[in-house]
Amino acid sequence: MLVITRKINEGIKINDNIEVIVVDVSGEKVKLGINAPREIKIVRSELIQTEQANKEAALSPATVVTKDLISLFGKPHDKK
Amino acid sequence: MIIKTRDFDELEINESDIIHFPNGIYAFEDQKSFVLIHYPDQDVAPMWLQSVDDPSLCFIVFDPILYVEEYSPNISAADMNALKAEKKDDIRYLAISVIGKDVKDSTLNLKSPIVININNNYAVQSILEDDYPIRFPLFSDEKGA
Repeated sequence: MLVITRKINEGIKINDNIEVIVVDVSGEKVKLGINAPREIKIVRSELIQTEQANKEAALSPATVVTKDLISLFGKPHDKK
Repeated sequence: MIIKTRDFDELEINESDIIHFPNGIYAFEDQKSFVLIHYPDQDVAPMWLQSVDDPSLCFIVFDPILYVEEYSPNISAADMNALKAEKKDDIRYLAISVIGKDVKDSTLNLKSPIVININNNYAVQSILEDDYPIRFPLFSDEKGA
């Protein structure tokens, strides 16, 4: 991974059309400003990781999982 | 009403049990209605968050409070507004699990809990600013299994 040290108001340029600027630093938080063309998708990394985890969660092999869970946690009672 | 479920065939539910996700769930934004299938007699139990409209879509979820003492995330004002929730007492959390090939490798997403307003059954999946892991081991050593 490329690591570059920047101060507040300094930035980096990616290709000719994306600019990332350090707007503010406060404790553990860094505020970034990004100038990029509208078609460039910019999201927090956690959002992609959450989507990925959700997709994996939805793909859990249903029947086996339910059987295993019940054997691990005990047989569920009927609702009511 | 009767719905088809992934793991429990057909179930009868009350319309008042439906949990409404105005924005869906990340990667499943078009799914707006779920029901929580659970077993109230179990202290530590998985629950099933079943889509009402898509029988094949179901998440296995857990109450994170059972796994992390003092799980008390900060929910953004925007999410609280979306839920029409005013205070923390109005909301409860569910953590979506990824079940591993070996069930003991399963993880819980504590970073992006399902947040439900218990008064009106509106819910969002909230990506927290807080420092919680996206893949927290469900069966960690210190807790045992």
